[in-house]
Amino acid sequence: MNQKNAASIDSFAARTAHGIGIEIHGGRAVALIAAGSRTPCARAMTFTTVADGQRAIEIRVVRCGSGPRPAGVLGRFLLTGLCAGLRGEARIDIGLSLDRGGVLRAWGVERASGARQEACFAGAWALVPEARTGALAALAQRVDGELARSGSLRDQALRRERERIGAWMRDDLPPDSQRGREADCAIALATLAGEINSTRRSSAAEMPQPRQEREGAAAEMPKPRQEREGAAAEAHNGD
Amino acid sequence: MATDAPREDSLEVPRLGKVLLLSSNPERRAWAARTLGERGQVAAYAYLRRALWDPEEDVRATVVDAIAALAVRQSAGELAAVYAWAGPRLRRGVVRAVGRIGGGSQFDGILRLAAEDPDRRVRATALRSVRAGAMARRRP
Repeated sequence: MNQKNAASIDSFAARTAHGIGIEIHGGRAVALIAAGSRTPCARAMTFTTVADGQRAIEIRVVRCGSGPRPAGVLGRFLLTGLCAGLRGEARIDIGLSLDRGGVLRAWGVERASGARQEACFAGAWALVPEARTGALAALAQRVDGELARSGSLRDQALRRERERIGAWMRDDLPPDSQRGREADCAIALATLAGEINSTRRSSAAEMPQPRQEREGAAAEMPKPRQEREGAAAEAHNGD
Repeated sequence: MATDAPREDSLEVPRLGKVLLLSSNPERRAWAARTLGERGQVAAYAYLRRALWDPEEDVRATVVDAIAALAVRQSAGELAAVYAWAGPRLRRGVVRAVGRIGGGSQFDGILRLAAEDPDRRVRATALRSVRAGAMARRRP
């Protein structure tokens, strides 16, 4: 890729065709990224718990339609390790970001405990159709850049996978098959981007820990309790 | 970019993914999940993550095994959500998967939940997974 192309991809921006948000207690959707937003975009809101002693919340990332209910669930993940308190006490920041390459990142963090969890999803479908080819090019460039910076064994495997997807993207196809191929490539690259991000976070979290602390992990596990708690946790808008 | 990689491998992932998500036959969906796990491509996770909510528990268990085989680190939050809603057998499968993936800080939440699990076998599996994760992290 020459310098001119690189510059144009860095400045690539697209509008979203759909709103993206999270589902809250009662089944309503709260849009964090509105339809018509310009990428890259990000927004976070603060939520709280709906039950006393709640130790976990399930964050459901949804597509927002015209009504108050979600138009579809994109993914769901659990944020555990919340400080047990009264309902409404916890302050949980939940955010969504959509980058130039169409990677949708969702994260949740509780302020008191610092408990954090995140997930990445393919979000190119949320862009206006005419922007998807540009977003795919931006995503490919970003994945290449991130893989070039590291040489771990895991990254070598991901690099081989990236090469396979690259070969696949270059295939000549009839125009009607090309759109489906582009969508499949965008999904594959977004998944790779999510894995690279996760591998980096994992390495960063583990590097400073002394060995003794890791070996003691089993001893630090809490004692068994009779009932599981927080299993059916749900997010709730605190406002 | 190298071009000598086998093209068929990449083509297979979306095809199998669509079988996994669209087939009406649970055995075929389980086969697709198993095959995706064996292909060794992380991109398969895009399809596997959606199949974590398959109506059949056997399919969900196969999907969890496939995610473990691929050692998908970004699966932590989603596996935790599956754990929270699953029966004892699938909860054990999730905790075993964490051990196979090698643990890591993202998975601590699942292991904490499993350590408090009412099912003794789930707690025992959690202990083994913590040990397996610690050993995996010690490897160079």
